[in-house]
Amino acid sequence: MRRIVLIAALAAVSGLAGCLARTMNLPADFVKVEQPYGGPYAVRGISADGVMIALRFERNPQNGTLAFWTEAMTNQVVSGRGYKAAGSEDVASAAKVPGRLLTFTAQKQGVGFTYVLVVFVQGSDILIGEAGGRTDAVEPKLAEIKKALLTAR
Amino acid sequence: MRTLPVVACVALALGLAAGCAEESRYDAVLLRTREMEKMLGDQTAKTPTAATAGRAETTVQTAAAEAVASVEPRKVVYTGSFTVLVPDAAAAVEATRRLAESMGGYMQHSTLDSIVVRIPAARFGEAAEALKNIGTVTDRQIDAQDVTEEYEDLELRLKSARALLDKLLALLEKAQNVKDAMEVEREAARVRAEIEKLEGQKNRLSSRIAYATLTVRFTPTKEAPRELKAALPFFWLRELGIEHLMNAFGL
Repeated sequence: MRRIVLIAALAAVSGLAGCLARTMNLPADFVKVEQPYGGPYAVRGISADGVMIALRFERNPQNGTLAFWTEAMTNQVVSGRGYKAAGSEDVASAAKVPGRLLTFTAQKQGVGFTYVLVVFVQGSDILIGEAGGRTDAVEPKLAEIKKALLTAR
Repeated sequence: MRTLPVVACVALALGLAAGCAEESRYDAVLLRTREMEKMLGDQTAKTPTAATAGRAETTVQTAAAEAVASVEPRKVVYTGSFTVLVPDAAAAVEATRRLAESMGGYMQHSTLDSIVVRIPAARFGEAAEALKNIGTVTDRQIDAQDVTEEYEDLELRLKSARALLDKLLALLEKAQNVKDAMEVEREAARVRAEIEKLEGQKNRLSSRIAYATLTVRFTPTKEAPRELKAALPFFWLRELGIEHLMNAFGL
């Protein structure tokens, strides 16, 4: 009986630790934005000129592969939101987890926007990093943003 | 002759009172000017008396009215309000803006799911028809407001006010002392302000006549009508995108 309780407690602690551990580094000139009322994001940050970056994680159902989520996410933002796919590349996180980094562009009220998505399938979780803002503000920071997204863990 | 300025001022005050009580500001100014004209008593034949001035003014107004009625087409202000069902509201807003610009119009206001555009009045019907290519029109309301009388009234009031200003300036040259000159100058300033106000009104009305106003609200469809397929049962996928990211940041 003691053994069962111990195993259950360990499982609970490790599960909680897993949830709490989901994070990523922010680019140097971004500040962290707290979520006082909860929300879907584990981490959120913003630059002084309004470029946003965020990390969320979702439960990965059985057979959910990187290829499946890459296609599902691309379909969602291209067909659902009208974005244009501007780039797609294989990447690996700092923890050596393979992932896919997708870049999209969009026009809103005559203004160009850039949206960057990264997805990693890590065990039972799907890690989704997002960044976006006006293209003229995103472009100079793109390398730093990609670097930060790859620290998702 | 010395009592003339005093009498003029009294008449002016009476005219003011009368104007405030029963006349519009413009009519009051006209009345005061006639009184001043009378009191200042230009004896030469060059300056018309109040009666002849009135007749001349009536003649101008009648001639103008006849000219407008015989030549000018009706002045109509067109406005339209549409609700359109589309797969992507933001893309439809952009498409409508481009449509307006391709027709010589322009965007006046827009949000993420609605837009107000101004279209040259002659192409209003064409633009309304072209909205069908952007999505399914579920509601529409078109109004045509005939503003011909309002426009003509503004034109006539403007002409009369300008004629009045000319008279005041002519009187100013004949003023025999500083007090009279100041009174006339004050009246001229009021008439100038009235002219500017009327010109502003006329310009705004002309703009409304020349460019129809088209307000379009876009309602996003739950699914793409051309490509019916099951939506993935992962709600978070629908939260991807800059729009949701901006909302999450309170932007």
